[in-house]
Amino acid sequence: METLLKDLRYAARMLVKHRGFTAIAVLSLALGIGVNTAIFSLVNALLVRPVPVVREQGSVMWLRAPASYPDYLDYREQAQSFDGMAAITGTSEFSLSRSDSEPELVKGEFVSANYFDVLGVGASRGRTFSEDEGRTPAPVVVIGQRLWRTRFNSDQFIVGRQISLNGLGHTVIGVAPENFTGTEIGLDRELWVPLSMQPVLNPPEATGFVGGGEVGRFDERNNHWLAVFARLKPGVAREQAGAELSAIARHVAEANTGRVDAETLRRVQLLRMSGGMDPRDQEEALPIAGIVMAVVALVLLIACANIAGLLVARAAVRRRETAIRQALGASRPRLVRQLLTESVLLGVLGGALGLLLALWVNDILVSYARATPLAALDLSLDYRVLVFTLAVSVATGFIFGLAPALQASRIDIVTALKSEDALGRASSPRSRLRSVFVAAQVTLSVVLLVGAGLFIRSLQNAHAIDPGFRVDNALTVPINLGLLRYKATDGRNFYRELLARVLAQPGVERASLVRFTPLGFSYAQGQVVAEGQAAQSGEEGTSVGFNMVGPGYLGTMGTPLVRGRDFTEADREGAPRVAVVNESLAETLWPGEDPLGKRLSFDRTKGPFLEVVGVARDVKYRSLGEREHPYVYQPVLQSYEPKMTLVVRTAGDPRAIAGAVREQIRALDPNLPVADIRTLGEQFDLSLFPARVAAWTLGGFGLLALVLAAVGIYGVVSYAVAQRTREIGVRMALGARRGDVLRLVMGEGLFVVGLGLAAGLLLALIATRVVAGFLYGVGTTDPLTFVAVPLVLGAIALAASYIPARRATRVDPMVALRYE
Amino acid sequence: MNASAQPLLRLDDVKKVFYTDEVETHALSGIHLDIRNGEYVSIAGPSGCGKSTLLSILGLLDSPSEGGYWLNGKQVSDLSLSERARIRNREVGFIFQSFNLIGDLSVYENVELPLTYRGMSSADRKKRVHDALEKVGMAHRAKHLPSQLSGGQQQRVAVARAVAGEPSIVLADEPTGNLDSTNGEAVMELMRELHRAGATICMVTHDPRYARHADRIVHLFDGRVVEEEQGQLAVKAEHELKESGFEVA
Repeated sequence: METLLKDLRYAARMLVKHRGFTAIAVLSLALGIGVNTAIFSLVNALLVRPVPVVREQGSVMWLRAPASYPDYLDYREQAQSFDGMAAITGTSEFSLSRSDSEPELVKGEFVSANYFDVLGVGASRGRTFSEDEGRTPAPVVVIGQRLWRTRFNSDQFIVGRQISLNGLGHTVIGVAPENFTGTEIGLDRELWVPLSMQPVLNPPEATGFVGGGEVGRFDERNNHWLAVFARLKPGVAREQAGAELSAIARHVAEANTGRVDAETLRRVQLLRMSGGMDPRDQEEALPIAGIVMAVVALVLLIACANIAGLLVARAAVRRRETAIRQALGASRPRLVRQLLTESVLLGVLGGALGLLLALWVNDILVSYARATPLAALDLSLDYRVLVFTLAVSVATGFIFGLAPALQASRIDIVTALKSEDALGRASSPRSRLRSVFVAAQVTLSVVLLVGAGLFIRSLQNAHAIDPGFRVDNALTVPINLGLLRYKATDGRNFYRELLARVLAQPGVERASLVRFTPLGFSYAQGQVVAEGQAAQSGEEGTSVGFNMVGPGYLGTMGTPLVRGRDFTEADREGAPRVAVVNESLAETLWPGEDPLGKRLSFDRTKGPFLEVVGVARDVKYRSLGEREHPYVYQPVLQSYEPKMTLVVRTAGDPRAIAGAVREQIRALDPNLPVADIRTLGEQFDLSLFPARVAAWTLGGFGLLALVLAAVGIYGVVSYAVAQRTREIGVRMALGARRGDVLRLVMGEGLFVVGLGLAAGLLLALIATRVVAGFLYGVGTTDPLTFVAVPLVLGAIALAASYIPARRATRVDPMVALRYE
Repeated sequence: MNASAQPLLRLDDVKKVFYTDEVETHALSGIHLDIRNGEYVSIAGPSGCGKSTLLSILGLLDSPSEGGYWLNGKQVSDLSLSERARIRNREVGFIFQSFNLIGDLSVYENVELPLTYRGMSSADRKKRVHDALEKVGMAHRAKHLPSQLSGGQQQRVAVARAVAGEPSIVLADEPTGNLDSTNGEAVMELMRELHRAGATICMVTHDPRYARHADRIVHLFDGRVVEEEQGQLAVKAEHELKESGFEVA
């Protein structure tokens, strides 16, 4: 221990003495470790850190796919492997109103009465739900700590108080414990209402086609709308419980439908609850997390290669010290240990600074996340992040320190002790090792730069991609009439009145409504069949995306109509059912025919059939990178949806009319909460967020890699020049010209760079295949990127090696020859 | 100062050949050498005669190409690197021409360095370092860095480092080579004092003025021992002892 402290003290002294080297190394490491820590914080928050407060999370199992209510009841009653099985609806919006303020939109969940018991979560005040409250609708609510503190001012007598949810009085029966926000982190859930209240708060007559409210949700065995999780009994293994549940599911399916399909059995597969993300989503998130972690690890590796190169150069300066220590009896392991102490100390210093950097990056990530469904993302430090950072710092110290330490400790003591050995041979093992590090650095930089290039080109393409609608001068205002249980007729009237009022506002050119804003976070899919082309037996029809829109929607969005017309006020209840299809669907269902007047249906048996009145240009519905695919628009005034977004096309800045629109909504219904107003431009930007983050971060990392590579190349050539001063002097004395010397010195550096470039391009060809799915309009072998990257890197390398090489041409032969 | 009959170290037909490209250089050719406990031996010869190579082999910094080397009765010519490092640390003290102090360590830490590699306790190290620095008159400069000392002072610190571990033998490679004559004399006086106190010393020098300080001078030429003689100071001391009626072995 004492020796370790002594080594640490000496290491600290050496780092203080060589401040320039220390600063470069610590900064490089801080950047490398910082981005790794930041990304790990994100991975930790989503995939590793258990959901706060939930007891023994590892015993909680999720069913892979949603279940119907009758299935849930059967599973819950028959399965013996579980201590309890709960069902939830997922995040729902609620209108919370109090007499003294405007209604607010809060997020919460409908949950089975045993929800808190299965999670092992008790109330911090009051109680959780009773069994009775699960059976018959009971207007009770458990609120979250944050809601209690911020909106109820930490009211000590909150339990028993009445609050209004969706216009109905509810009794607060309890307050959830601190930090509990449900079964997933990041989703801003602030209250929980019994599942039995779902039909009361969202009655079938107030729900729309998309919400599935037209069917009896609690009775339909085919309506899979509940996420189900259960707690294993102590001593029961997941496999055992899974087998039991499969058997039950098989039995239930056979009893009710007479057949068992693979999908039924897949639905009841058990996924262990781990981390803060729904395990069903983790399967998609893990590969992305893997790619990002690999990229940041690459940045750190480049930093390591750079510092390793610097350490090798420094070892040359410290050869004599190493020789003295060995002459005095230091064994090689002892010397390696001492040198590693220095590099690990450097790693830890870099890690400490990196942690600060990560906190800053996390603040930025959190601020961006506020505009996404992960609004409550918590990236605060915890012991896992600290342990990760420490482990990475120490490991990094070993990685960049080991090879130079081994090399430094393998010296010829006798020669090293002689002062005249200050000059080494150009092709010494040390110089070769340094060249290897530079080549490795260039290789990794190429991979990163090619990645950055592809994402930057992809982002450029994304901006150039025509989404199929006008992004400028449009405001989007989400409206959820379901919160106030509007019936279809009232809802449609509300929409008509609202559109009329908004259109009357100065500066408003057009206005309409849409269920799913293009490039938003939600999307709906279904199957359609064309009249007269009833799908053959066994086929389900043509898969389409669909949307409910208001009158004049296509015109408001600026989506061109290829044929026919846009929806009008006349497309209302009672009028013939109509639809507008996009070009892809027209081509799929009626190739070579005029689609106008043709009819299609979402239900081949029951109908209704919708008459095609228009064909619209294809639009980017979900993401800018998507391919054209079939799509159907239906008039909302014919079918009704309680949750719509008002789209307002303006002559000038759309933000300017936000207040007026809000006023009009309030005038129509003062109890309707309005939140998340944004422009279509902001919505568009948000959809580009992943592409922009990838381009910025990879570009940033690429730039960093470029700087590090330049430093490395400069170092290796400078070192070669210092080593060959005498040789250069001799050559010049023998008549070598400046050009000869430049070629000699730069040749070595550029040869190393050339090797690194070749290896890097090869590696990039393989590595970039992984990101193919994330690119817009650019292939993974994009010629421009693959030509530009080596050119840029080559130019940088040329500059970095020219500076020291020019110094070599100024060597005075007389001075150089006297050097020894 | 009486040397015992048992040799502390013995070289038997030691040869050292260096290979550079296809050229063989015979640095040492069949060296036979015994050094007894408490003896003060000087190895002299012109530049390139193999003095430093011989000293490197004696100090286990290098190994012979052929021949045997026994230290304290143990064959040490074929040991592993780590075993050689261990013996070097315990049995050998080095004094170099260019001092070879570590610039980033204080005087105290430089002297302490070989003791830390020995795994000695902190209290023991402190005492040894203090004694060694007292011996060379540098205790008052313990906290200084080598760069804050004169050449003579630096060499005295190097001497303290060499003897702090109480090695079997002190090997000195041209210890006065980088010093002016006054400081050179002072260091030689220090070596004599060490010898008088019982230390075994083997010193390489090409300067006959300093070589004569030793009990025995071994002359090397072209990698061979060409002559051995008693040092003049030793002859003088022996003569004085005989005149005083003492019998000298």
